[in-house]
Amino acid sequence: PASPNFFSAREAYYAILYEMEDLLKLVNRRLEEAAVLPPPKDIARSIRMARPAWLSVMEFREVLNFRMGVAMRKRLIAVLDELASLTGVAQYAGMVDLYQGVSARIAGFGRLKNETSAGSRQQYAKLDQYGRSYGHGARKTSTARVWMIATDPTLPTARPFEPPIPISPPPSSGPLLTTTILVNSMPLATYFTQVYDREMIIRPLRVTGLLGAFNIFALVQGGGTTGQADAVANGLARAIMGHAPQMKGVLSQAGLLHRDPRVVERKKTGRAKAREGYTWVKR
Amino acid sequence: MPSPIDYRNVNENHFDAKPKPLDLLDFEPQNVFTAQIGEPLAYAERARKAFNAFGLPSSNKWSHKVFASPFSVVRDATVQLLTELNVRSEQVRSEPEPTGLILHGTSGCGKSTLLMQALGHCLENGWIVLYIPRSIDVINSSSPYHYEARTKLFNQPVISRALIQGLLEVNREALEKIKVDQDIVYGHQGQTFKAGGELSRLVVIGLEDDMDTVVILDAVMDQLGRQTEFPVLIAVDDYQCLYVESVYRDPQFFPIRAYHLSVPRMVLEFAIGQRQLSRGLVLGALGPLHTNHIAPVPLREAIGAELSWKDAAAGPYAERHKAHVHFSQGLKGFPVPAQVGVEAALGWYKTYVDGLVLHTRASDDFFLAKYTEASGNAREFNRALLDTMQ
Repeated sequence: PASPNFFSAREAYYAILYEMEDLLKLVNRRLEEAAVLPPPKDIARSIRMARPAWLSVMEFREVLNFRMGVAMRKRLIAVLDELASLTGVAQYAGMVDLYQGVSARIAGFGRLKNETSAGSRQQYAKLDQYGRSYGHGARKTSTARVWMIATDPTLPTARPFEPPIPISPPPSSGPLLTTTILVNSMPLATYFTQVYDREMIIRPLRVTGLLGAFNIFALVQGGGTTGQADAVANGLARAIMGHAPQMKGVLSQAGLLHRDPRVVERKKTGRAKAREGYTWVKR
Repeated sequence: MPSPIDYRNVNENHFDAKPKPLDLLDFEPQNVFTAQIGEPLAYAERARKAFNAFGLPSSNKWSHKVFASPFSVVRDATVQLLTELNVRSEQVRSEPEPTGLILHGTSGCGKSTLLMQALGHCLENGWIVLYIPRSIDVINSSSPYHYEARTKLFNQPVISRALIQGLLEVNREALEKIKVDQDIVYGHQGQTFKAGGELSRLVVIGLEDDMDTVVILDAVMDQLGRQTEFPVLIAVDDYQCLYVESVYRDPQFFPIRAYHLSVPRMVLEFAIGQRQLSRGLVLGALGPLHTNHIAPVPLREAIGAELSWKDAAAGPYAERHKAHVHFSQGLKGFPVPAQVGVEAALGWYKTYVDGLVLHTRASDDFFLAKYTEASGNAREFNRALLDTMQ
């Protein structure tokens, strides 16, 4: 056999992996000899952000013609990430030949920034043919499906999309655009009679400042009133991400993207309820 | 130890603002039709007197408690209704015709408030007004009743007296100008009120002790229906309470139907044209809050109100009582929009802000959030502004 990797049954993968690991050791030694490592904090941050997007599992199969598992890819990507950051350090330090050599070697594994591959998962949800985004939310045993559509597609809050079906222009409704929220085909105030539940549902729109920009339609089932309200709020926050991905920071800081994992605790044997015990008897 | 405050030299920025005087215009004709949609108007002196004399409806009383004097905003529906009233004030009928106009819409959409606005408008325009703000109080067995064999109805003397008193307090000048055109027999001893006398004198007689107030109210209303000098408004809130089974019981302990009581019967007969109302109309408003007294199917069909899904599904098999059909014929409906417009809500909100009613810091985002939470419903909007914990 040409190399010991033949006996691993994944010859091509281990060949590349060990080559990259050796390259990493070499680059590390060279940079340490040049006293460039570790780089200052601010450069380290900018170098880390300039990583290329690596090929996905499917793309590896197409490019390198061998099947690779997710864990195998993860190990390889870890090495490639490290190499990419070190090439950035080398470039900053002015070690041009090292930088160019290593970049050329790892470029084959990276996708160009402008390319999008068919197999990879898109970062944000798409808008459908009517310009609606969709979000799914849940709380306890309630699940909510939430659709959001812009009230006025000409406003900058609306993401542009390609409508194959012509959309009629919105009716001129006066000086203020308002959001209409329908839950299970009923107006919000009819479906949720508690003021607290309504405020929970409005919160994602208030926090992002998008009141009046979108109309909401939600289908919710399961659970009780407050569980359903929280489920709709959760789904609404995710639907907002489809239209306005830049709101992620605001929404996650408000805790609206987080699906509350708390559920009713199960009853245990030897106990009356989940925690409550039976009356202790002395004899 | 902080030093005691010298209130003569304080920094004004450290203290809350005093509420500035609102200076609202009144609900006078020249103001309503030139006001912008959303402009708040206060009820004029005469309207306030009418509310003191007749009472206020129960459905919107909490929205009137926030300010010293009640106010409401001008909506699109206000302009439409008041225009309709102006048109009807010019119509004079020689034969009895149906004159009922019933406001209907979702719960909390503003029917009772519109009725109060119409009342104020009519008073300013010189109408004679009779107002029953809570028909539920007419049928909930809270006042005495006794059977009258002559009319085969159950008389309600105390309610009749209260209505006569209110009529006199609110419309005294107009009643003094009306002359009775026929002799009226009113007392137990056969006392007669001669033709040519002033109607206000007859009303004053009705307020004396031991008078048959039901007969006098009947006679006064008949006379008002015959005369054409002043248009007459009979305003009734919770209009469906005039049709349903009342809480009263007859000697066999069967519930008495509301149209067998003297006061509801009188209103219904004017509404469908059984009694003549030459000039004016009967303006009613359904009251969906009273869920144990639901508007019957024939009334809803006549005025174009929404049926419950069960009645709609039943179609021709839904219960249609003969008496309900009879007392619904000829009635017209006035649909009140489910949503208060954004401009009207904005005017309402701004008045609250200026009057320092809100316990939340005011902002555009707060207004829009509360309007959205209420889905445009008037009652829910008021509740959202005042009941919020934000």
